[in-house]
Amino acid sequence: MNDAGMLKPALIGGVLLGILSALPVISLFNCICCAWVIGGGILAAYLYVKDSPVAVTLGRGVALGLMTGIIGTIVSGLFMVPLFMLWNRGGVGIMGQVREALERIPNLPPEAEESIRALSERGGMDVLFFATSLIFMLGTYCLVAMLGGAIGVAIFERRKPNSTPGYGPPPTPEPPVNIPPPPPPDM
Amino acid sequence: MKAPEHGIGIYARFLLAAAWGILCLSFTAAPVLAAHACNKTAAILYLFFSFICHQIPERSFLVCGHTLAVCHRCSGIYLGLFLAALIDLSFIHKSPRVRRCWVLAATVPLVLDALLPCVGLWHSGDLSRFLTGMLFGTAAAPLLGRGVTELLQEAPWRRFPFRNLSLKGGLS
Repeated sequence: MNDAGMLKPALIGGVLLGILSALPVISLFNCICCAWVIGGGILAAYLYVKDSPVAVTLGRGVALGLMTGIIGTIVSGLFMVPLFMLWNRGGVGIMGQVREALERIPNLPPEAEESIRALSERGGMDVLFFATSLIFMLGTYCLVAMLGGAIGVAIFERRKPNSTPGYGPPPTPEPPVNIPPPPPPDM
Repeated sequence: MKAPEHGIGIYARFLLAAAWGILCLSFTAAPVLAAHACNKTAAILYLFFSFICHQIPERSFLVCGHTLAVCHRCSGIYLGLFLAALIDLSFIHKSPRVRRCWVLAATVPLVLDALLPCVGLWHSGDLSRFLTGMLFGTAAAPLLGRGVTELLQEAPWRRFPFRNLSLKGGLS
């Protein structure tokens, strides 16, 4: 399978993880060890291994996870924009969501909450916060989806790789097929 | 499948160890910063980690009187990933079967520890959550290490056409 063959499974895994991670209640499942993100990576690896005629290496799994993480972040970001616009229309806005999230954080000192509140009242913080969370998401999603891709390959790939580049002994040359047998030795 | 580790392998492992180390430092820094009145940074760290962890106080370790920014299980996973990235565990790549058994043996305790309390068959404590998380992290790290090594060796970005592009013309 070539690099182009990686795009379809990465797209399926990435779009799924992006949508599920952006939806308001369903995204809470990510709180269980980034379940949607690892799941997206594993799904992409499963789809790739299933259609690959040769044994898939862990390197391919990691590359697939990386692609899935990037696609997932883009899709999640695209889904979050209309959601935030809807919240803005309802009078809550991104910083309103941040304030709500801060209230849920345990043991946060009141001074910390107060300083974030003061920060959130400044103009333009919505865009800055959105951009910063996207960068954080990109880093975390890529790392965790790479892990998912590697785990997926480890679980679903049962074939032994013939020659992984850079690993193991060099492949032994096969003997030529159509060679006449040697003449019998003269006695 | 087993191969001696060489330069790129060590480089990949330490690259990953640095990434997981930064993550471990960040979630540990949140309570320490909160205790030392660096409230803004602490709040931002808590907020970002709230995207990837439930942060329930009863399920998180206390440091300097404040909870870590992630729960017992997540701190175990990240610490396992960090520590296992520092050591060479290449024996798991002996065959696909060994690798699969290794991954399943580390994942099953984590899943059981998370699911069995839901049906009342097991009560997971701080230590069981942390240890099963750490076991999973330790098992996953060599997979990621080998994967990143293979990716760096294969270097698929070298095949992109933009490498052959060059600026033509100029001022002179």
